[in-house]
Amino acid sequence: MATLHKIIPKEYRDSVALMQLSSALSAMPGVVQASAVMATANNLELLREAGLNTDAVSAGPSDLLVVVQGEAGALPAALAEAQRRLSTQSAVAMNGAAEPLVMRSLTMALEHGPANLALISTPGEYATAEALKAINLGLNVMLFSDNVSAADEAMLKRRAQAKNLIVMGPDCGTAIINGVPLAFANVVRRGAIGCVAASGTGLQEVTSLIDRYGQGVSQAIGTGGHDLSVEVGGITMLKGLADLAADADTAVIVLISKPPAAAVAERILSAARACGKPVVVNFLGADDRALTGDNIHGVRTLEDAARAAVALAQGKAPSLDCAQPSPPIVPMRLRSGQRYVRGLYSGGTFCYEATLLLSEALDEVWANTPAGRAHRLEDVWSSHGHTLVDLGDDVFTRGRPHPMIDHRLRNERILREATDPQVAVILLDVVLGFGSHLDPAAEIVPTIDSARERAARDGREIAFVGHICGTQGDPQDLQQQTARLSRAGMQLTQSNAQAVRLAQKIVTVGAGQA
Amino acid sequence: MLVTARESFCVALTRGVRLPKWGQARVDGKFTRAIDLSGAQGVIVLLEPACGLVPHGIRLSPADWPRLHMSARLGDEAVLAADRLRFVRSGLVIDLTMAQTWQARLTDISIDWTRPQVVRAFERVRAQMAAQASASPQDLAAILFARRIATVTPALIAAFRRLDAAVACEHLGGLVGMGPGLTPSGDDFIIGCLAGLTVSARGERARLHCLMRIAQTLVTRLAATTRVSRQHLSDAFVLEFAQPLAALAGALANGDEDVVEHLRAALAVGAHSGADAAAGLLLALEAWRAPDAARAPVALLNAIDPPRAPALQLER
Repeated sequence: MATLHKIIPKEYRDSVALMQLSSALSAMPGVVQASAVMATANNLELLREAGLNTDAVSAGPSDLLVVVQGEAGALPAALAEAQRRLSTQSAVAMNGAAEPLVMRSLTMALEHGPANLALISTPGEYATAEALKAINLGLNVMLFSDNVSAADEAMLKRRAQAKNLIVMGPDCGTAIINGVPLAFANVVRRGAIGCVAASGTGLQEVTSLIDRYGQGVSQAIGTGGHDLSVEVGGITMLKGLADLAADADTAVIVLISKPPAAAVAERILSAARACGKPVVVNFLGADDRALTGDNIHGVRTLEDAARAAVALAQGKAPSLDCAQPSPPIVPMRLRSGQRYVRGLYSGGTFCYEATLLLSEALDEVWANTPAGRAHRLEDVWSSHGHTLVDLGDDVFTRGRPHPMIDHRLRNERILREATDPQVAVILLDVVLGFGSHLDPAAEIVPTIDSARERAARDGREIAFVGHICGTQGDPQDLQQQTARLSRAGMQLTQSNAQAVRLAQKIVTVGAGQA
Repeated sequence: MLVTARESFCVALTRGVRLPKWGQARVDGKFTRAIDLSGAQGVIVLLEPACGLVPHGIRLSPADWPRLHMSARLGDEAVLAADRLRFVRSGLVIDLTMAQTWQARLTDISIDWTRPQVVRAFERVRAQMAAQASASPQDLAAILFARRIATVTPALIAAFRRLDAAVACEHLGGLVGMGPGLTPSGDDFIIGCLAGLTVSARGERARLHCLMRIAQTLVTRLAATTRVSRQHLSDAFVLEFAQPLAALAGALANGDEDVVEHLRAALAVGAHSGADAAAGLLLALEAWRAPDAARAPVALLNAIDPPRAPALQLER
């Protein structure tokens, strides 16, 4: 094992940037560990004690020290990469925002070409002002920012409504407008199904499944998670519904949300009844049969929503109970004490749906975002019973990238769950598409291998069950991701709902009895 | 361009309500949420509006931070005079005449371990910290630092309990400038310790002397760390602490129900800084949890010579 270092004199980077640099270098081929620290005397001593002889006698506390350890041949490239990353950041800091040309205002952007939609992603406190400016300029708005108050959201949406514009968001992470994926979205073919959703990963799942089932999407409109609250009144969902009803390219409409406030739900459903097109409604956790009637088709899961919409687009009647059976269990040896499912999710709606489905079938279900009969998990860092965790929740993402981008936190949790002798199934989601990690299998497969090894040392096996939310067109190569995860022994299903049912079956029927 | 003063401006200054006589400085650090200005007398941190205040920090209003952040470049010269901060190249002027001042007053707070809610709050925070520590992804420097802390902790607690400032300083001095981050973890840990000792001193003469001896000794080690960290340590040596840490210490001392919210806010500072400072805080609180030396009024603190930290000289 070799060690190489580089000193960059008088170089200041904030702690997050240094952490990201260390993380990026550690992930390079042939690099075992890497660190970017200020070259203080105590740090040099610390590194020497750890066997990383830096010989950096001339460095001082104001200098940045990058140390990499691993295969000798790989280290120069790692240091070059460090230099490249630091130089890129330096150029930005030295030149301010002047080069390359950055659009500093919406007006300036409009001067460079026509547009009818502004995607706004700023800290929440500036977002309202920017969205207002956009509306005043006659632009529709996709508001990626969160931390916008309900009052501001309602105000923005009413202003937009008065100008016949739409505000998607705040906290709208997914949309596909005129075939263009915006923010976290998948590459889906165009077609006759239009979606409006108050859920980002819910919208990704439904549009991806529609694509896989051979149909396409006309528009996928995000509303933000609070649109269907009493304060906001579902303004965006109603606007999206009306736009899709008027859109000649849309034949079937899908609405996705957690159950709205009763008055808002009634307003949405009345508009849906009057829209003149078949509407599939998935209010996760609501009674789907009570929703069904006339042109409205209530469904229980995201997968059912996609299947029903595809059937309707093909001119067929959707089955009222189109729940798909889970695939057969892969035989494995589970001990009698192994009886729990541990779901570690990067997608909030996947976790919510899994919690609903699992708690319908099993007792002792705990979640940090409880739904159905599940209990609230007070200590989100440790599991007990059947536990489902949304790792994209604020408590986990503070100071770290979202788990769809950075898998480290989930990988650590997988390894911890694997040491629990009561765990039978580890349930995962893998989200592809723009914005997500470019090679999730590269992150997950080694972790599954390590987890299996740990369990095997105790004479146990663990079932890894999951699904991939994505399409053939996504940048991550769905086929290759599927093959690598399957080779690692992950039992992959077609949807989140199927994965949950398979996990449930494993712990109730027992894998050995398959 | 003149940025008009707004009520939402806040200035956090050490022991004073007026701006320092500061003169010329340069932008020597530009980060997402902060811009560091360094002058002959130290560092002033310009903060984005959502940041907690820090001593020698100036928090800008939501309207003005983006203008400053967009225009400022490394090396830009700035002049602070007559309550105005002027950036020479861009012409941006920040008028601070209406700025509010803020100061952490931890010396007014005493922890009372006989109150059950204080013990409960401490245990809740400790449990959260333990869970967070076990789950945090760490780089090499963080792992090495954690090992060092684990080695030092028992001896450090024992030294605090014996009120043995010399031994405590041996261990704490070895942490100055150590660990990951622009403000290395060891410095944040020391700052947390000082905050914990401050609210644990409870006016007891022996504890106050121990605390001040620690500060007076460690101030000689400032050259061993980064320029920004020197400023934060200097502030801590005169018992001035950043708002999130001070709020957490206050909530723990009061046994507040929302103590975990304060912990979250403290942990949100930087990549490691908040967690390292909170760890130091808990260690110091635990160390001086047992009652010992005779009590003396808090005012005694002011009678002890402050350490000669190279902090900014302020108008009084």
